[in-house]
Amino acid sequence: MSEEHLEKLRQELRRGVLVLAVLGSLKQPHYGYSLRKQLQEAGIDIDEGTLYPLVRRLADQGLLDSEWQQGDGRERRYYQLSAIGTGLLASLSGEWQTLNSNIAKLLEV
Amino acid sequence: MNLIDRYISAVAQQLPASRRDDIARELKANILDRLEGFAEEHGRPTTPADESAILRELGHPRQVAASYLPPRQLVSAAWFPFYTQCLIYGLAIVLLIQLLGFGVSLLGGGNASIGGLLGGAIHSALLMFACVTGVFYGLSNLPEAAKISPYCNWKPEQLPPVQHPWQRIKLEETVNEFASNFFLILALQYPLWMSAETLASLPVSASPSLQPWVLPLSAWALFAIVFSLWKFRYNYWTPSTLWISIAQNFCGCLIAAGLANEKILVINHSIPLPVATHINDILYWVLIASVCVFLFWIARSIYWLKLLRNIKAA
Repeated sequence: MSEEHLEKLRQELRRGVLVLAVLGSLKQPHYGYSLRKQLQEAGIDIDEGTLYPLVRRLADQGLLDSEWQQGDGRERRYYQLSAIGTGLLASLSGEWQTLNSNIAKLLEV
Repeated sequence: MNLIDRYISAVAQQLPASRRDDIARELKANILDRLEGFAEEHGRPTTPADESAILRELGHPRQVAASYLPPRQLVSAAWFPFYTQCLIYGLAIVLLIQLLGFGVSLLGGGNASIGGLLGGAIHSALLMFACVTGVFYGLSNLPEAAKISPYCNWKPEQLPPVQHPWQRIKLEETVNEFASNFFLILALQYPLWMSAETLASLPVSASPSLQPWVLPLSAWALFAIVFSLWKFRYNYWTPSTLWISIAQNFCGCLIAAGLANEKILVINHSIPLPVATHINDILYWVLIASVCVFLFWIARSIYWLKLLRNIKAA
């Protein structure tokens, strides 16, 4: 299998957990750039072209609250989990744990 | 106007008015953060070249704007198989209509050229493609059509009993057969639809020895047309359709062999025609070739019948 094909499959695998990763990171308030940094430090590299629209989509769905704040002479839009988002994160986390243990069993065989 | 503002403006132009200002404001904040991060990382202020590289990395303004909007597609994955099926059948219908129109023009002595046929076919095919794609764009993107699903009423019992590729009847074969037999009926029954002026100006006319054959040949061609319509709908060979095909081709073979012994056309020598003196010879060889083709089709159908019987026995 070529490196290119492997990279595509790797990206497909990561794409499935992006929403969970973003929701999990937004238990604390973040603006776009700081959220990206946090995810990168956790080993999840996501490009801006994917992250920023995703965060807006989650906000439009009511999963995140946002507000503009002034700091360092500039304004930034901060996002944080809403009440609905917190509930969804708990559900998705449970789903993730189950999926993780099921996959682990399959990989052992 | 600096580069960042030009970029934001280009993205904003692609966005709906209701979301433009909000997204543009946030995008600008994100870009400025990115530049600040770059400057911290490299220990120096950003240059215009750095800004340009960062904006290129973000993506073309159209792509960035599209990422903020709900995804849209010309034809969705769910509708695509049905869409391609409609395009194929649409193309077959377009070509059939063009061929029939060409045949009528040719027989009626009107303007009939291969260039005209090709041009008309391409024009009609493009129009068909645009109409079909427009319909499926609506089905794929309109909220009202979200609940409609292609193939929602299909049943496994309706699937054709086809085990081998040769059992599938090719669409182009059926189209060709339909068009040829339709053209044959037009040619045989020409006094019914040609004007008196066109009839008088024809360089050839049917000879008296052809008259007894007109009715059986027309009936045979009409049967073949009806059978073609059946094959459009049920496009696979079964033992019964193979027997019908054998009978049809056998009758065609007999008629062609009978006609080969007759002088079919009478030449109107007052109207010059380069091939006038050889036309009946040409027709003779065409009929002999037709007999051979019919015999081949009969042999092929008998072979397929045996294959189907062997499959059933096994």
